[in-house]
Amino acid sequence: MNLTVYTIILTYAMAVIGIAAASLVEGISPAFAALLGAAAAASLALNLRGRRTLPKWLWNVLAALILLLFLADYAAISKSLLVSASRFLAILTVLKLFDLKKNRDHLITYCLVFFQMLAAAASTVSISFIVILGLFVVGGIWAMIIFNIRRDWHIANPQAQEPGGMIFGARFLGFVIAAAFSTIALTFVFFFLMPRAGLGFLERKSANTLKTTGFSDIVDLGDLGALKTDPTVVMRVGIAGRMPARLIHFRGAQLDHYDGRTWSRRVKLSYPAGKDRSGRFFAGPGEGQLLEQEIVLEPLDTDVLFAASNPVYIDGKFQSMRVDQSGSLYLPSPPYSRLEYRAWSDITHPRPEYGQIPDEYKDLGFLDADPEAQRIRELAARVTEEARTERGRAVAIEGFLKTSFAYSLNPAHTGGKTPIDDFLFYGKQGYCEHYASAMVIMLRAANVPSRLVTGFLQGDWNGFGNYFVVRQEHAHSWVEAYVDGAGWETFDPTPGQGLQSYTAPSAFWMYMDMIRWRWNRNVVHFTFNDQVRIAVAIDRYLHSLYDPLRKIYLREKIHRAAGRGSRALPIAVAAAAIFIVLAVAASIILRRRKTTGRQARTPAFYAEMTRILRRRGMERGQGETPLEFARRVGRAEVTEITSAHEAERYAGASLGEPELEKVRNGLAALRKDKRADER
Amino acid sequence: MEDKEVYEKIRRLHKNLGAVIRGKPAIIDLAITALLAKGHLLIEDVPGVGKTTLAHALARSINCSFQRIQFTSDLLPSDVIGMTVYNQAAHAFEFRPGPIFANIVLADEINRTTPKTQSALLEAMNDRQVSIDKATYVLPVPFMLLATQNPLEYAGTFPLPESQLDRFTMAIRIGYPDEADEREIMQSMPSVKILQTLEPVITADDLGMMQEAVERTRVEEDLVDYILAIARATRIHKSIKLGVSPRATATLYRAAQARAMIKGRNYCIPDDVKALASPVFAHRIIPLDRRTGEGVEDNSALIDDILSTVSVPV
Repeated sequence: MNLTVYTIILTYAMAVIGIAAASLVEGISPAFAALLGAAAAASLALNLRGRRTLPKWLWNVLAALILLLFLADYAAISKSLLVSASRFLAILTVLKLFDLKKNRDHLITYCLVFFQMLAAAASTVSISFIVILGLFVVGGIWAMIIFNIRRDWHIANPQAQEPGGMIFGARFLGFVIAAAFSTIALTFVFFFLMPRAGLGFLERKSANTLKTTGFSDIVDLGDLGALKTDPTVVMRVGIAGRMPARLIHFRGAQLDHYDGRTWSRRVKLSYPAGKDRSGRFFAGPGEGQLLEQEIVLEPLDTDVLFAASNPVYIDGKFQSMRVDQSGSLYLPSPPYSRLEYRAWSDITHPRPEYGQIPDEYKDLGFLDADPEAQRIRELAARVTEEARTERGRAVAIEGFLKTSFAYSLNPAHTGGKTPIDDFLFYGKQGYCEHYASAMVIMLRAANVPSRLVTGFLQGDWNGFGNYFVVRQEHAHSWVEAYVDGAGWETFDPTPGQGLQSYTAPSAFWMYMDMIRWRWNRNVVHFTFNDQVRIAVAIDRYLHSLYDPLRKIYLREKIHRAAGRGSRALPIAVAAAAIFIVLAVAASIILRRRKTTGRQARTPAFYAEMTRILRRRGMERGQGETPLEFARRVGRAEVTEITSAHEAERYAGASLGEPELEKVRNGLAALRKDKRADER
Repeated sequence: MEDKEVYEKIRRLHKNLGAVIRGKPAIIDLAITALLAKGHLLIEDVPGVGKTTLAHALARSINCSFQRIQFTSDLLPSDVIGMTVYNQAAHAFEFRPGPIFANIVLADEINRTTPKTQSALLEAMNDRQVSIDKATYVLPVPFMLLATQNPLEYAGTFPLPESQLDRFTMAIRIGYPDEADEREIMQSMPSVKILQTLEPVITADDLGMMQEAVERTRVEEDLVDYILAIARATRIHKSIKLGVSPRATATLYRAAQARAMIKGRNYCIPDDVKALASPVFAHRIIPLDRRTGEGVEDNSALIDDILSTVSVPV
């Protein structure tokens, strides 16, 4: 394998990395990438045979054609600069592969790949990007080194045949990887230090918005059921501080009106949330210990914002937020990309209602319209017979529902007029929506104002990253009831079986998800606040080192102020003694190293000559004797200095003044030549 | 003897040999090195390149006794070292020394004789004495054995055993002269005639003193380390079955001293060790794959490989 083949192969590796990066851009199909890969492979076969491939005019025509294609793509097909540009770059890269004639062509390929990396960086939050970035850095460094070696070699040996065989060994590979890693390490330092502007110039709308139901103004009974087997992740929630003892419900929207088939929202009054001094939105009243949640929400097609019941504050990068009286949160529009925010909720106290309870929460129009449905009233009365308080009635109904019905995701249709009829009197099986709907109706029949709430259960705990993974299947509905004038309290009549995950993710999946979460948390959403946090942590750490000393100093000061004489002297003496012992030990160790070290026995002038020659790219090989080296350098001064060095080193003679003079002149001549070289 | 005198005598010896062996100053250096290191020399090469001539010229240049033994398959040990015969007149057995009792002995085509006879040389080479019938006879001082062998002929030969090879300071090849030298050799006086006109330039006593001077040559500890490192490398090299013996390192040490003297120095430098490592070590190692034959060339490549990796002291 000679240098040219090496360069070609590396250029191809870079091109493949570029195509892989392009395939990360949303909106570019894998088929497109595969097609380009196949074209690249075809050109590789041609290139390795050393055949001149495309005529210049054809290449130009094709390039122009691709440019037109790009414009058409941008104007009509994808309508996104990023997608069309990525496609354009990828095609251009592959086209360039058919035209690797000059050195310049390789460089152009590397540039194209670099721009593809940029495009991918701007449009993906996928963790696989870091893998491709790593490959790009290693491959890029490697390719540039080989490229330059090859070019310089040809400049130095214009006519000669390239050397073959395995030119580069494991050490070279090691060097490249070390260089790449230090580059990446440096990049990370810059990444964490660079001030954040908070502006994503190249951000684009995600095409992968999750379709979800159950949070709009009108929800068909049974909508959530369709979600109960969908394992797609909706959000990930980290909990700061202590974990609450009871199941967390991430509340979405409330629904108040039932017509026998559909739930809808009548109470729609909402108002823009105000902000406190630290920029958090006020979401409602709350007291005591608040539950702090760190939520990463996937793009959803709903404007509802999720948080544990009774949100008090919300902190996120959105311009505005609306809150309704029930504590539902709404964004101005559905989030188009992954959304990260923090929420503080008061999950221990019921949410108070200011003013009159709206009649919608007591509405039983559906029962009044259907005489047969009257038996629900009778059922509610029977169940709540013994309860004295409103809260008692709610608990009684909750308990009745929990114990008397079978949980099933596919309740049979058994002849009732409505799903609720089916559930309560015929099939006696259903899932969360049936339970919750039945409870709301029964509560209202028992004169307790109530409403249906939709949202998500807390999901699966990821022990690797300490956060909850909430998936579509955790979509849930439950009940809020206004009891005893204290406020809205949460009730969940669904039996335990319905609160469990339908599918359990494997430990491996959890681990990978933790990496994704960390990536998202620490890289994609790395903000100015995080920088401040790191700076504060470092500052605190430094203080922890410095404070004990300061304490000693202060104590000493107090001690002296109390007139009890100074303790500083013994401390100073002890410190000085320790210092002296350490210094002596260090000097002994250093001296021993000096006398055993080979380098130390080399006369200074020889070392100086070695340094001068090394700067000019001449270095003694491992198995080369000093005289052989001098012969290779081919300069009288070097031979002279080497002989003088050997006389001193191996004959045990010390040089006389004339020899030393000669050595000095020789070194001066070498140095002067060096300057001449530089000019 | 002063170092200056030694240099001068070496120079004259070199000139004398150069008159006979033309265009091969490096080979002459090696031969003198072996001589000064109190060693023995094995010359391996095809016929007609001057193996015997070199031995003759060396013997002639030194004013000392010289014996030549032509080794054949029917040669007996007693033919080499001598035997006891009954003296009728004195009524006693008396020792009749063989041709080995000379200052310089040329063992021509040493691999043509039987191992029995070859081994008769062992004691002579190492201990510089010969034992016959409980009596030990000391060989003259200085004593040097020059042996030649033709590496290409195998029929009817007995390759030297490792123990015997180890006793030669170095194995060298003379090689073909280059074209200009060969032309000169053709057109000038035949070497036999030159040999006859060759005058001795040093005496046996001179040689003894020169050998003593060599032993005084200064060798820094680092160079000893260097020799040891090379030896160690031959012992752990992956394509060498048998590395060099401690005798070999001692020999290289002495040979490096001799080379320093030849180069006009009374101290050794790394180049002395490096230049001699191949002639001294190559014939002593056994490479793992011997398909390529007994020649030294292959082994030299292995030693060169080692030399390029062992780091040289500065």
